[in-house]
Amino acid sequence: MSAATGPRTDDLPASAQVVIVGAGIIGCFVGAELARAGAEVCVVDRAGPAAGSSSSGEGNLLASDKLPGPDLAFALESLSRWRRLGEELFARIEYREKGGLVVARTEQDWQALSELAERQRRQGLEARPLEGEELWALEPLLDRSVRGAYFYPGDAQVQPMLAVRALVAAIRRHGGRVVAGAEVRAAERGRGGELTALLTTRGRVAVGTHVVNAAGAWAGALSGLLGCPIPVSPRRGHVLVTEPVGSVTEHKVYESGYLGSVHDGDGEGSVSAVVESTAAGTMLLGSSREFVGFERSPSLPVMRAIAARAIALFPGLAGVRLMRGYVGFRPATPDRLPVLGADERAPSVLHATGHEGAGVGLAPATAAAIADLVLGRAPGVDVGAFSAARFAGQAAR
Amino acid sequence: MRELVVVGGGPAGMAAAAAAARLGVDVTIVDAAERLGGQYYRQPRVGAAPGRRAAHGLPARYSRLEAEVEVLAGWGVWRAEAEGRQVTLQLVSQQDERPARLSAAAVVLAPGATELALPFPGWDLPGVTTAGAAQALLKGQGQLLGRRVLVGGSGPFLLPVAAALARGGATVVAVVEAAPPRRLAGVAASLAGHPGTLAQALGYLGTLARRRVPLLPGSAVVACEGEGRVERAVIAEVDQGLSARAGGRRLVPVDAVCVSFGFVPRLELVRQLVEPKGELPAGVFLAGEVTGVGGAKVAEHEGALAGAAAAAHLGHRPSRREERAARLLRLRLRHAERLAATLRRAFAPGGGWTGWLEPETLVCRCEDVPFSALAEAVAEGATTARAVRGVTRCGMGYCQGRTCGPALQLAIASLSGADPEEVGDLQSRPVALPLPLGAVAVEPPELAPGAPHR
Repeated sequence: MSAATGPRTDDLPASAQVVIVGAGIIGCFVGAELARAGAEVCVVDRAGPAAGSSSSGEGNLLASDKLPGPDLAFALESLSRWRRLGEELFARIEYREKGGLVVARTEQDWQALSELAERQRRQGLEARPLEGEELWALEPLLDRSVRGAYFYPGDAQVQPMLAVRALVAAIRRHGGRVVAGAEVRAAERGRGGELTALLTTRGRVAVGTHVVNAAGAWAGALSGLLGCPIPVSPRRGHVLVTEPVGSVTEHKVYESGYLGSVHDGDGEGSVSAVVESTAAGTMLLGSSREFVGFERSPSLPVMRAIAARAIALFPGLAGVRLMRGYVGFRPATPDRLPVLGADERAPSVLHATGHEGAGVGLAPATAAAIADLVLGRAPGVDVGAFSAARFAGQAAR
Repeated sequence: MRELVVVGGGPAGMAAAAAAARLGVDVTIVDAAERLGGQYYRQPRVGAAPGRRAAHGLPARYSRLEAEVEVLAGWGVWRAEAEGRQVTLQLVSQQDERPARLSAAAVVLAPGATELALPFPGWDLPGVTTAGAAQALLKGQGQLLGRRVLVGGSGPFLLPVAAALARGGATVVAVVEAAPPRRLAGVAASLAGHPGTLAQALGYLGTLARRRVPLLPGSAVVACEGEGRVERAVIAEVDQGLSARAGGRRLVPVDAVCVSFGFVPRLELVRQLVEPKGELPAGVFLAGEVTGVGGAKVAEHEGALAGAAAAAHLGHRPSRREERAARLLRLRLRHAERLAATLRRAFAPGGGWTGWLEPETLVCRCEDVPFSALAEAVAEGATTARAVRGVTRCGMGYCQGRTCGPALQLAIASLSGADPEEVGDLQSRPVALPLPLGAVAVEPPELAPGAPHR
């Protein structure tokens, strides 16, 4: 076979109705939603599709780790949209509704988890308490000293790089463009101060009606260029990958302490165990949260802590080989909630960022909300709680 | 804390250790293998019966090395970090997978290279290996891969392997060298100024000529066939870009095929040390193939210079005589490096080999990724090795791209027309070799000096 086909990177158009900055899971989901609805879409990325955080996470679609209120409501909406994408696509993107298991190690953790889970259940999230034999039956290899757990059957997983690949294909199928190697360097403004074009490293693209800020962990810097700074900063995480093994667990299993580290605004350098298997048979171990800028060199103490905590949950992991590790950067906001929708300081800009570790899960609902705003449709998803206005005066850390 | 740790016990590492020890440095060599020598001076395995086919072992100049320096054999280095004036290496025992730590005021990294294996239809059949694997089997265990062996690929390494197999009792069916005759003539001419290398090459050629082993330049093994094991090799003429010419394929009966297209430096530990600050930390020195593949002679010169540089960094001043020796060594290195550069150019594989592949030819054997999957990903716009790995799983398996990574990089370059540098490699690995999570989870003790190593 002589496949002398060149790579497919679209040319930057002279103009586009909607320019989306960032070809990660969020930008591509928004792009596909808009392109399908007939909008003229151009997604630009400084590297390429899924080159940033979308390729350095675990592909979680979780409701179990969301706090009752707008956070959980948005997650439930988004997960139901994932579920509706259909079997044909699921096989291609390794979508699995594997279920999540949140484990409480101590009596105190168990009380806190039970209280949280009951509140989540009242908001419509399915969760089931498990103790003793019932728990060991579901997770035979789990350490017997844990107090109890809640099982969340709706938690799911996808392979985000495959998902982005499918979305890029959909954008192109509907006439949109995905331009790699185009980093936004400046914004051009008209007489009234309105945003008219973006200047990228691949040239200029005139903006029709909207610019979507889907730059993920880099969205803080981009929002400054667009004239509407929002406090989004990179919160680093480590993932360890083991050799392929048989099923240590079929679910995503994490310590209830994880909830604390997700929602704790200042929790620096915190590590809590997250253990799960992938379709390929490898185990993914997390998780850590640190504010260290875009430092790519992994931390040995963090790797050590992740390994130790994973072994504490599943003692059998001690003999399983670590094969590789990577770090990724979550787009974090001060209150751990996303920034979605219009910004009164720059009327043509729509933010779609700040999802921290939940971007893959929250992508469909985010895309629906942004598409409604672009197309002037009645909003199908409520994103009022996620407005940029709540950060007035706050800078990124 | 050790004074100087040399990572790698091959030609570069041994030369570095010997040079630094001569200047009064306390040296420790750490190597994953159970004996010194590396790939080039591979010694028979401990306990292996000394056979006529076995390797010659270490050259005389290193016969006292084990007495002069501390040798930690059988320890792999999985991570290297620098902080302040100290480099810390994380080790794992290759015998019992116990972790340990080794810290040093200076480090010479001489981890060597791995073979470049380019896939072709049938390369995963039993009986097909790399040339290096065939040689390691012979040197380390005195065993032959097969009786009728075909040696193929490209580069100066094919000759010693073919000669060793022939001397070891195999019938070498042919040596199939991809470089065209014109380029080989150029290489021969450039050997004029290197009498030692020339004599070596003539020695190998003589061994092969006496046994009437045909040398087929401008050709390549483009496929292997057989039921459950290799039985036939398909040889085709190739142009200088490695594209097979139309027609003229021949089937050669064989029971083993070994193929090598040269070497790729092992960069994991270097990357781990460079990544945090974007530069090599003070007190870390590189030697051998890791600085660019140049063969054993270049590696030894570089090793000796790196050992001396590390000694100077540690405050051991060389005498005038030693300074003169270093100057001479630098001249020798420059001379040897010129030949190495000529050889790298002459034997660099073109991208035409992707044309030998069938859509279903596996490129990644850990994850069963066929060539068609790579071609599809590239056609969709994935341009880097990392991006293609993400959507195809090529290089995501147990070997982590140590086998298929270089081929993946070259295949993407060939398919997209991009430069291999832009495509990037898969060598940024926070974990340089697999080890049990239980060994990662603990803060291991510093390996005590003088402790039994095995």
